[in-house]
Amino acid sequence: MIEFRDLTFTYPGGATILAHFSWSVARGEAWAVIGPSGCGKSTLLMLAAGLRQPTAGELLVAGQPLDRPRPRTGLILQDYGLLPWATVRDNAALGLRIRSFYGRDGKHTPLDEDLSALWERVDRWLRRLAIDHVADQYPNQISGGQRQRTAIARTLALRPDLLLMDEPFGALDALTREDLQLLTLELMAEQGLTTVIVTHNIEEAVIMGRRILVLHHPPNREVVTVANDDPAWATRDYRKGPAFLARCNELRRLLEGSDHALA
Amino acid sequence: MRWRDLGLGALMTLVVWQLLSWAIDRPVFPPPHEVLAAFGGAILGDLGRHLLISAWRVTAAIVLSVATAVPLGIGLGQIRALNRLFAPLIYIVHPIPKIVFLPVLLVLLGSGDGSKILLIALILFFQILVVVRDAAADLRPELISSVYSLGAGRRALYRYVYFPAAIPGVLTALRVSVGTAVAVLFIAESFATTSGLGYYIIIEAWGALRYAQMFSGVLAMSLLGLGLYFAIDALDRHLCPWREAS
Repeated sequence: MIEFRDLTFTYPGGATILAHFSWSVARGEAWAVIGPSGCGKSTLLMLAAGLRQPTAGELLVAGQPLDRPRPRTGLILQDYGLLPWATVRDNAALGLRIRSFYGRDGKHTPLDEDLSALWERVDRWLRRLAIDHVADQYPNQISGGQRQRTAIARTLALRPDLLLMDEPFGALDALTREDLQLLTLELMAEQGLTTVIVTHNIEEAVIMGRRILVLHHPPNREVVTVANDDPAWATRDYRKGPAFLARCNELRRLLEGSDHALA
Repeated sequence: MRWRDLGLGALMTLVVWQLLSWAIDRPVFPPPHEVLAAFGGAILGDLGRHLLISAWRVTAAIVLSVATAVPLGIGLGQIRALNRLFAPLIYIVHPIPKIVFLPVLLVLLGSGDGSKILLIALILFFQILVVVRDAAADLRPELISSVYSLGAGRRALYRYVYFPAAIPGVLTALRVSVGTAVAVLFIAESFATTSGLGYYIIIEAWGALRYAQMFSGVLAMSLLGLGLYFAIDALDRHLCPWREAS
């Protein structure tokens, strides 16, 4: 689904984040990317989203080279990216409205997109994410968890096959965060999504990642991954079991092995 | 403002006005009842015509300034290089009191509507330009990235992000500067013209020592300013309901 082939990315300022980096994500996989602040994990996600272009090497998503955001890729950021002047319903509908603004052109909108029942589709997602009761409120009137649910509804309403998330639950309190992690895992399975979630939190990486990519201080050359194949993964009780704790410790050792501890 | 407050304000104005009129006790400051009688007699005729002309000039200037300053402000706010190039120019030109250009505009555009509309539009233009530029520059990059990732191109970004983000700034700029605009209109209309409230107040009434008539012109000018404030407030409630909700 995602293929980084011998990819190098250097910022215009001169810092090389990825150097001859090769990494691939297969369809249906759930990846977490973890590393200390400044390791380039957000940059990696922006590259996969088509919001930044590699300096050298190749990046393929669904077999195609990427020169702009791809319609079937969903992106969710920590600060939600909601429009403050639009209600929850209008925010959730934004992606679909942008699609009907352009029409089915294959560039902004997939050619097989059906936009006839736009608002029914939006309302269905609002109900699925249990935010239909705040549909007419504005982002500054609802809780952080509800805002993030709105961002998820907006993205999933576009029927993505690839979901990229950058610290999506970073600003939430512990219980809301656990809630949304479980909900996201549920939706990932239900929609058959390929996902990459970027986090600086060890527990979150183990909860959300079936496979975990560990980045170190740049430039990153080699790919360090952890497989998280416990059968209880993605269940409600996983975070209470010994396997979870063992995996967290393994990840912590790997990260501490890098030259700096986690921020 | 609620209707009750508005009524109270009007009543207090009348009381203060009456007291001042008694205290000054000269024809140049007539009591409210004389002015209201003169206003009632003229508003459906001559005064009404001048009021409409002035209102048209302000409205045309607002439309002209919004139509030019909003796209330019968005462009400047969005493209850093462009802003770096023009910021010094705006910094220098913005504080110049635009009324000083009146003689130039009169020579270039004549004494008709054009010179007055352009003069007021100039005042509003810079206010709106600066506010819209800053609003566009302050939009968080995360917001732009996330809308971009929803499939938006440049056109959709304008339609769904930049224009809506500019609206509150435009309304604030108008609210701040519309009073100045009406004041400048008054000056501009008070010579080299034969229409508008400035002409009515200065030439027709003051010049002929008709003080009640002069004050009915002042009243019309106040109503024009008040009407514009009401219109801006109504637009704000209609276009930016999210600003009240918090």
